[in-house]
Amino acid sequence: MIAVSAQQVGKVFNKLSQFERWAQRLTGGLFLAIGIYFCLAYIFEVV
Amino acid sequence: MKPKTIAAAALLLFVAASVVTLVIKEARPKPAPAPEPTGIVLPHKVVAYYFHGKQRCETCQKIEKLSREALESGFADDLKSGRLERRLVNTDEPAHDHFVKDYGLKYQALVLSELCDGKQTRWVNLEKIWDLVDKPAEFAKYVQDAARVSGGAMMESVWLGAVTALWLGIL
Repeated sequence: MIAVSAQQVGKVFNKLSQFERWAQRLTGGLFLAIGIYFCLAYIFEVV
Repeated sequence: MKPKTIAAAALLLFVAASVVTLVIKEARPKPAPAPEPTGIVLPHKVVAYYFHGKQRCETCQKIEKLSREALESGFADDLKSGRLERRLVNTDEPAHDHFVKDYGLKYQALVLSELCDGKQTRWVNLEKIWDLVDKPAEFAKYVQDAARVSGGAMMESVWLGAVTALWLGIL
């Protein structure tokens, strides 16, 4: 029973790790996009 | 070269360009602030104060631009003659602290102040400017109507004063 439980927990952990990777990329992309937008709008004043 | 390295280099270049642009912009001499009144006091006039802070957002700048345009298009003669005066005031400067208390300012504001012999007789804070910032035509009408009411009220008091003086003169 412990072995099955550990297996299940491992599966969930793997899924979470995958999600975390994508969430990190998404957050990074968002931050970059917002930063670039603000630079263009307030420093270069082109947007 | 890996795409990741290229992207990182491009972003670093962009950041460097932003910093350089910002430094150049800050180093550029700023336009001189509007001169303070020269001491000539007209008997009746309206002062349109635009209060802003040190940090100026896009909306704040737009409101200032729309206010200027509304006053310049509606009261060019009054601005030229000095009956109407525009003053930009940075409320973050310690010397302008009293405006914040006098007019109960919480954020950027357009205040019309009526002066009679150099003393303020009435003032109005045009609070709807924030709601009308995306409707330039309505914004201009709102500001011009308010300025007209102030100017009109001024004229009424001038007429009232003149009639009273005349009446007293007759008596």
